[in-house]
Amino acid sequence: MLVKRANKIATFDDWVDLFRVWQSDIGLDYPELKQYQFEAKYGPLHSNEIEFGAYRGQNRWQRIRQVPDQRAQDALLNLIVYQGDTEFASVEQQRNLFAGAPTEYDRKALARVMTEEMRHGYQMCHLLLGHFGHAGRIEAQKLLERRAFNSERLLGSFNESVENWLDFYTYTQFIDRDGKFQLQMLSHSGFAPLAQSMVPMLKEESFHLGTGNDGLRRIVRRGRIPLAYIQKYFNKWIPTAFDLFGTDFSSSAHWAYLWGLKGRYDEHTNAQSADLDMLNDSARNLYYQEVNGLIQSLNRLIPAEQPKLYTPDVKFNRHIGQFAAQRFSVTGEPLEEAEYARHLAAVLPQPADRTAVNALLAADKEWIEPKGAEAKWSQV
Amino acid sequence: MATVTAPETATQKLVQYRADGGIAILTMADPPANTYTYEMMRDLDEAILRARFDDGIHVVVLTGAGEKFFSAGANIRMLATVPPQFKYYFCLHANETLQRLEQTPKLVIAALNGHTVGGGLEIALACDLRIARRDAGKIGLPEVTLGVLPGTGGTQRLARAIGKARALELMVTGRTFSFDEAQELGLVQDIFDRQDFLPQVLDYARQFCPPNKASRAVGRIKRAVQTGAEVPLAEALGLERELQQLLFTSEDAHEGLTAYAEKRQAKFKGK
Repeated sequence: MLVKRANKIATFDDWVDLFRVWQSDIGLDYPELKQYQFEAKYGPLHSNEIEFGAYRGQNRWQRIRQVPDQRAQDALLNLIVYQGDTEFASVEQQRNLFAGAPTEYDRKALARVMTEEMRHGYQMCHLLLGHFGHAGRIEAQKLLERRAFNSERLLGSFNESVENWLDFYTYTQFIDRDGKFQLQMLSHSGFAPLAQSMVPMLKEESFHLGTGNDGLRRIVRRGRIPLAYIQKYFNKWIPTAFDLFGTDFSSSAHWAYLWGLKGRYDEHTNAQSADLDMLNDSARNLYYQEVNGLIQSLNRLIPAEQPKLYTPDVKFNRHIGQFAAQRFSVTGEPLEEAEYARHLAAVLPQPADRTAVNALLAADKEWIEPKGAEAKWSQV
Repeated sequence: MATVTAPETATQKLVQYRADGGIAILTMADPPANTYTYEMMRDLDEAILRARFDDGIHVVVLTGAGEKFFSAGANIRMLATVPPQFKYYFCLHANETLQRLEQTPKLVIAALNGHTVGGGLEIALACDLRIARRDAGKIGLPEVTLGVLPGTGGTQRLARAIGKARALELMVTGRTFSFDEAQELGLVQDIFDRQDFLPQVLDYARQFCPPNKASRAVGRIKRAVQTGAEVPLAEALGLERELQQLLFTSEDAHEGLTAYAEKRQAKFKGK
C-alpha cells in the first residue's frame, strides 16, 4: 500500500503531498499532468434555499453541523466519497493511454480529461477535509489508497480496464456521461459547498463526454474500425453505466432525496413530484434515452447498407438491481446458462478482439478522422 | 425478502452452522441485510450451544451472508408489527443469547463482512474480537435516529470497549463511521483485504486452535477478561488464579512447559 495509515494526514496540505505521491505511484509523470495547477473551485448557487425534500424552503447548509439529521450527515459523507472514488479511479484506468494517442490533439484531450478528473477528486477531498473532521481525513486518504487496477475501487465500472483508444472514447462517451448525470443530481444538493462544487465540475465534465462523442463520430466517419468491434465495446460499458445508477427501489436514494442531499437529474424542469422509490430507475431511464439518441446519431454516419449500432437492453449483463445475475441477451431475451455463456463470449470484447483492435490501431495510423485543420498526425 | 416472523414449519435455518478444522462458522443468513428476528436469535442461540458443547470446536467465527451486510440489527418491520410485551421478551432473549456467546470459554471472532449497524454491532460487541473487510461498509449504533436506544447491550458494551465519553458521543449522534475509524477507536482489531475475506479470517482463527495454541488457555483467558472486568479486582484476581489452576492440570500446559524446557515446538491438543 502506498500510503501507510501511520502517515495520517492532518491538513489539506498534507493531503496534497499524498496526492503528488499517488500521481507518481500510478505512473503519471507526464509534463502536462505534472504542471497542472490544481485548485478547488466553487460556483454560484441556483438559489439559497433547499429545493426539495423534508427541509425544502430552508436555507441551504453551509456547514456540516447545520445538517440537522446525523443520518443525513453520514449519507452526505458517503456521496462525496463515492464521487471522489470515481474521479481518481478513472485516472488510474486511463493512465496507460498516452503512448497510443492517435494525434497530438487527442493526446492533449486525454491530458485535459485526466487532469480535470484529478481536479474533481481534489475538489471532493477539499470538501472532506474542510467539513468532515476526522472521518473526512480518513476517507480522503483512502481515496488515494485504493487502486482501480487492483479492483479496489468502490463501484464496478471503475475497476474495469480501459484498454485502448476505442475503449477510451467509449468510456468517456458512456461512463463520463453517467458522471454528468450524477454531478447534475448533486448540483441540487442542500449542502451548499457540494452544490457549488458541481458548477465548475459539470462544465469540465462536458468536455470529457464531448471527447468521447466526438472521438466515436470521427471513428465511425472514417470507417476503418469494423462496427462489430465498436458494438462490443458499447456492450462492455453501457451495462456498467446502467449499474452506476444504483439499485431499483433504492432506500438510499429515497433518503438522500428526502434529506435534500441529491436531487433528480431534471429537478428544475420536472414539475411532477418525485417518486421516491423509483429515483434511480428514473435517472437510468433518462440516461438510456440520451445514450440511445447519441447512438442513433452515430448510425446516421454509417452507410445505409451496413448494420447499425444499438443500445444494449437494460437487462443485459447487469450486476446491480432486479436484473443482476440474470441471463438476458444483449437484445433482452432470456437465455439458458450454456447459451448465455456463449452469448457473452460473442457480444463482449474477448482477448482476441482486444488483440485485433490493438493491432488495427497500431497498423493503420488513419483509423480515426483528423480533428479539424489543426490536427497533426503523429507517431506519439 | 427478509423474514419478519417465521412460520412454525420453517426448516431453513436463519443462522447456518458449519465446522472447519476446529472452527465453528456461524452465518446469519436472512437477506438482504441479515436483520434479526426472534427466530434468528433462537437459531443463533442453538448454534452457540452447539459450538459450546462440541469438544472439537475451539474457536467460533460469526459472520453475515453475502457481501453487503454483517447485520443491520433487529428487523424493524418485525418490531413495528409485534406488541410491546413481545418486544420486551425478544430483547430479553437476545440479551441472554449474546451473554451466552460472551460467557462461552471459546474465542469468538466477528468477521464483519459488510455494514455492521445497530443490533448488528451489538452482536459484534458480544464477540471477543472484530475483524472487518476493507471498505465493506459502515459501523455504528444509530438507534437514536429511530427514537430508541441500543437495547441489546450496546450502551454497555460499547462504553466498555471504547470508553464512556466516546461511546456516548457516538450513540447520541447516531453517527455511522468507517471500519478504519473503528480500528482507530479499538472497536475493530484488524481490517483484512476484500478478496477472500472469510478464508483470511479462518486462517487467522486457526492460530488459536490446536496444535498451534492451547485452546483451553485461549478460552480461559477470554473467561478471565470477560468476567474479571465486571467484578472487583480482588475477585477478578481470584478468578484468574482459579482458571490458572485449572490450566495447570491440563495436558496442554504440561506439553507447553515441557516443550519449552526441551526447546522443541509444542504440539497442543486442546485438552
